[in-house]
Amino acid sequence: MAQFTEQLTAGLARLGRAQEPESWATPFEVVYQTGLCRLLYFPAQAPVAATATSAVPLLIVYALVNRPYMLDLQSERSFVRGLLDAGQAVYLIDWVSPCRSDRYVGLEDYILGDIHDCVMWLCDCHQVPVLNLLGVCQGGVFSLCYAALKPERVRNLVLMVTPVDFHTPDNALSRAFQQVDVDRLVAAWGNIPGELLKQVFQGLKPFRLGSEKYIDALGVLHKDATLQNFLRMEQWIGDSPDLAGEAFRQFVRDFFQANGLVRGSVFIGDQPVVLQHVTCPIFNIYGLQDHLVPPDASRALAGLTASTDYTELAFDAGHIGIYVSRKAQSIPPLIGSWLDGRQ
Amino acid sequence: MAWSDDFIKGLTAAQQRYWEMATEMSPLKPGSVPKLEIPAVEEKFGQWEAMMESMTPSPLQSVTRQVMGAGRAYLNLAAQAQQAGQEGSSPVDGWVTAMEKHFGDWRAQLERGAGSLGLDPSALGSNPFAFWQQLLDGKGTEQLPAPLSNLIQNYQNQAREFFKAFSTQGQEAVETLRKNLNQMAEKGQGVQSVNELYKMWVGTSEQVFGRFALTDQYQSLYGNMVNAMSELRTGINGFMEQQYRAANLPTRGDLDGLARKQQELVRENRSLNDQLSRLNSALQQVQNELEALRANNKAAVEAVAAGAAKPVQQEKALEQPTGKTAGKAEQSEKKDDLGQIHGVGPKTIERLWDAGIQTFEQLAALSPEQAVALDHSLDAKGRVIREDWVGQAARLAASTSRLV
Repeated sequence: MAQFTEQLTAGLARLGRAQEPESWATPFEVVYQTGLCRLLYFPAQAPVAATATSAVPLLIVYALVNRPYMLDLQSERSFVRGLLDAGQAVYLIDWVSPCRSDRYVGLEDYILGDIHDCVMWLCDCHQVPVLNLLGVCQGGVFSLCYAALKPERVRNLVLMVTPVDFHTPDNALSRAFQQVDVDRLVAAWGNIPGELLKQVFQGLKPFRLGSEKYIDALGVLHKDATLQNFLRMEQWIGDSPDLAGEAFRQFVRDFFQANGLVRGSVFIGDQPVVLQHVTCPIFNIYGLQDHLVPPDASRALAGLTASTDYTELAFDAGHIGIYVSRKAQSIPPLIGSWLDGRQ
Repeated sequence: MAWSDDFIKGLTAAQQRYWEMATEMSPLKPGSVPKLEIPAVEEKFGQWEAMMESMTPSPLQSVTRQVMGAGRAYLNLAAQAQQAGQEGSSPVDGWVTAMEKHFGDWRAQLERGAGSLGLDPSALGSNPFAFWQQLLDGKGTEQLPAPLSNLIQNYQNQAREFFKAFSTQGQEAVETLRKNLNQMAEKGQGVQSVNELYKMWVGTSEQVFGRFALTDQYQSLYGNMVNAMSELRTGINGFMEQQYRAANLPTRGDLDGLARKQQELVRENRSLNDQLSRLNSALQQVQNELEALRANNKAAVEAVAAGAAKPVQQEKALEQPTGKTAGKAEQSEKKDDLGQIHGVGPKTIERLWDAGIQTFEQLAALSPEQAVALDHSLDAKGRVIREDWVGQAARLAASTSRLV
């Protein structure tokens, strides 16, 4: 008992002493910037034989919700690091938080503007006509749309926890949006505050996220590394940028409410998204415990595209655990070898 | 700013007291733990929390607050269980009863329709719905004009309906927990610690709430609350607009108009850039074709010249197409399908051969005057010009050379 008390006391002292954790564990360079994003390049960390590095760059497209350093919170459990060690040339789109004057930025601006600009920049830089796209959650939706609109630029498409069918019966997040008048919401707010979004997500598991998590934290305060990880995750959860109003409006209306990918009714700008135009190999990875993007929401992609090389990976993890958990560290090597077999 | 050593030392006593209480209450056996006064817990906890908050580096303050809040809630419930144990009944029962009372009180408060939502975070430690409450907690709303206070009323009502349903789910979860505990008791099993009980409660609550979140009722309650909030905010925005306008200041509407225009310009710019790059690549293609034509033409001329064994100008070579030369023999090895030219049939092909033209390049190389001369010699009645055989041949030559 005395030992326990000592541990906890020391633990709380650590909580007080802990510095703000570093966001990214792996060093990167900002190699290109557009109005709404920074393109990050991650130089290989472990010595990789020159010939082992993929000639085709891999571009990670992150969601507009939350920040992408979730993929790299700690070096020993880093999705980014895993991809580097698997010999990929890793780039990542880090979205810039929209300011007030960005409220009319729409999905076309993100997809046909920034993403396309980054793709073209990379193709030019690497002297290749195509690259590999890896989309995360909403970034997966963007990547899928991009692959349908610009199939000539995408060699391989990797989707992770990406919703395709937004109307599966177990999708609580989608249900929460069904009767929200999103036009009015955006008209009232302009950009959607990150704080509001955070509450929407936390409200889906109010007891686990509002309470239990912190009680659990009390029990790990004496472990330096675990405490650091907890703080990093907390920092990530708290770091919730605003969303550009128009893009949010379109995403809720066209995807959550109209289920446009399944119904084939999505337009990006004036261009229809025709999933049958996607012919490249697809690797669709989803979490069996994902409460934000239920497995069926991702699985729905099978058969919707014209790809003849479609692979699924059902992983026993949640929406975030699929990147940060210990067992999830087996995923990047799988992605690496899947890509290497399709250069 | 991080904590100093002195501060940490000073805190140790308070912390030790807190953790001793928290851990000693863990064994849920009546009479096995010393008596604990809830007010004392509150007081100690309050002091400690205040100190931590003021001394914690700002990026960590909210985390610290959450951890402390959850800890305090946890401890409070444990203390209530403890008290029940002191009074002779089961601590587990005491805990569950305290939880029931919490949700019951909350719901009753919502039913009474008190001004605020009456969200009491003590059971959760933190309030996962704080955002919805913020709009209602602002001071001075009573001074707003009537249309706005109606909107506030409406939002309060909708939010209250949502939280009533939420608190009902909370009650249901505790009832389910009680049932599960009874079932365990029948099997001779029991809960060993506050933590175990707490974990069971969280699990049950998430299960019950998760089911509720998938119902139509939830969908409509949540939608109504968000929509009422949007209306309220729109009303407040409108009110502000009036104030700005009255003060002759730029309004939000003005700024939004600018932002919209700006985004339109961005798109226009992108579309122009797209066009420019398409035109650039078309131009590049034309230039490439031109280069290829020039190269082919030069090769043809050199070949003819070499065949004539004397320097011959391009025009000369074409003016003497029927001359039997080694060049012609060479060229006869490479014959293009001149029939691909629209307007050229089998007969014309033969006559073109007779005129010494066997490849697209040769035809493409004709000057306008030469084309007219060719038209006369073929008696084509202007078709060479009208159907642009020279241009057609140039395009075919380019595509053939690309294929090669």
